[in-house]
Amino acid sequence: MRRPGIYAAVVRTAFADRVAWRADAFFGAFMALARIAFAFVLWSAIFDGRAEVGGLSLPVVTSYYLVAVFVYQIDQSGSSAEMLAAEIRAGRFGAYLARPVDPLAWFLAASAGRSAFQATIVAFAAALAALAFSLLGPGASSLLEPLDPAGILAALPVLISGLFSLGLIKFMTAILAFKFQDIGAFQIAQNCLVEFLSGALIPLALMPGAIRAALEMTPFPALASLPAELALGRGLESLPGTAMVLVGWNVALYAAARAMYASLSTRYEEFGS
Amino acid sequence: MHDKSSIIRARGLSRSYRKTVKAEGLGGSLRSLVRKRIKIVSALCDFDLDLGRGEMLGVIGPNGAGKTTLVKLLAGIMRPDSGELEILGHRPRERSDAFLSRMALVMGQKSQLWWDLPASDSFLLNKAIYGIPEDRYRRSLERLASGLEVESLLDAPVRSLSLGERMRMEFIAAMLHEPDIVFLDEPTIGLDAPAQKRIREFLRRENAERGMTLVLTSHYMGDIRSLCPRTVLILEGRKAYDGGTAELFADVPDESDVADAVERIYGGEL
Repeated sequence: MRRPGIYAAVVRTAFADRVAWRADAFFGAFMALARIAFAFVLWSAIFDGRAEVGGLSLPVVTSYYLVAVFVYQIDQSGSSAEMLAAEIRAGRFGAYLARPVDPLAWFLAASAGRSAFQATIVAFAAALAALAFSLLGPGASSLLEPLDPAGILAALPVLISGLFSLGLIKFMTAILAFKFQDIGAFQIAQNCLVEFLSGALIPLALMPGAIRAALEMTPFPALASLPAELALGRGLESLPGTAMVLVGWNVALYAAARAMYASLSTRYEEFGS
Repeated sequence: MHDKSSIIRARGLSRSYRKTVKAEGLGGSLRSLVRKRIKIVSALCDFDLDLGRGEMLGVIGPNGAGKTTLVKLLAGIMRPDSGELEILGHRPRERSDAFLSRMALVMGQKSQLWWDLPASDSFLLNKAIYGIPEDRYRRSLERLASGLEVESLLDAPVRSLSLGERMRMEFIAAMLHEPDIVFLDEPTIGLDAPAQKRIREFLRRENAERGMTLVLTSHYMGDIRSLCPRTVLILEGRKAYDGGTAELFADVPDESDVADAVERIYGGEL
């Protein structure tokens, strides 16, 4: 790792870069609102007058989606990965090699900057969504489960840890561009899988016990399911175990990303690039 | 007068590539799926070079001759298969901070600037990367921006600049940390004549004022003739000429491009 000040500057620059694309960010947040509305309609039909489904009430499921869908939107390492893969294919990766910077740290810092901007937009949109629910009257606000401030505080480091894991995975996917012409298929498959495994699509609480237990041993629930459940005041007691799993994954993924970069980057040596 | 002590020393530098080849047409594509054919291509072979501090060296040759490979080896982006290379007392392949902080690489049409932000944001980032103190940064930026006549464009998003303006911003980004040696690979490609002239004047001034060493590849005769007293010609990965530019191009008209000139000198060898 070179001077940390470099990467603080990359975070700031990447944040500023996203401001130039604020319309995209607002559109993404609007789509999240629409998705919550659709989820609410769908789950209302599934509950169909029942008090609980899979041990969860409708207010819990609605609140879960409100938090999980927004939290899942924060990660922007996917756009960093697309840019890095394009730079490798277009022969522009040399700009990292010819300066005293570390490409992995640069990638993580740029993703952090973009995600920080997205988090700002997402927080604004989530506040709007909560306000809209409260304005719909007492009937509508009773459809939401109150959030737990201590749980929200606990959710933050879990989310950051999950974002770090996903950033490392996206970096490894992006540098496959050193070896493969088109990594689009890898990225699409990865996005679908991560969305499912994180619980952004279906709450993990509704999955069979063995599958849920297996997923909890991966870093993916930290991207949506765990922060949402913690914010709702659930699962605080299992936090130490969760933290150990996430730290273990982050150390392993970091080592894997370094090894993969060392192995693949030597291929950046083609004619004319 | 610049100190001519050697700051680049290359001996027996060689580099080859593995290149996938396939026969033409659909049949060739299908056969390559089953049996991949790899051809080893020698891009640079047994290359020696000594370059003194403050020298401006032109590197010319036809497409695929090995010019970009040489620049990449010198900048540490690529590792040689064999041979020795030392620049400013460092081995470029090790990519040490000490080496990377003393050199700069500008590759034509391969930008290091952030496309949607003003160039000044990319400059601030380079200030952090190279640890340039604030007062030195302001001084350098002012000198470079006025030298390249882009003071009024520093706050415009890079995407809104013309190619010539963008290229001048690339030079500022590369020169802010006042590198001792600069590698330029086709820096004026695609630029109109006035933009090329402005960049040449800028480089000449940087060399005169700071004693900056320069290695330049270009297809434009104007770049080589006006900037580089010494030229190396590479043909099929081997050094074919190393000497005075004026002597090499003595009988070549000014308006020729480098490829025409080399063909005129070496005739059927190209």
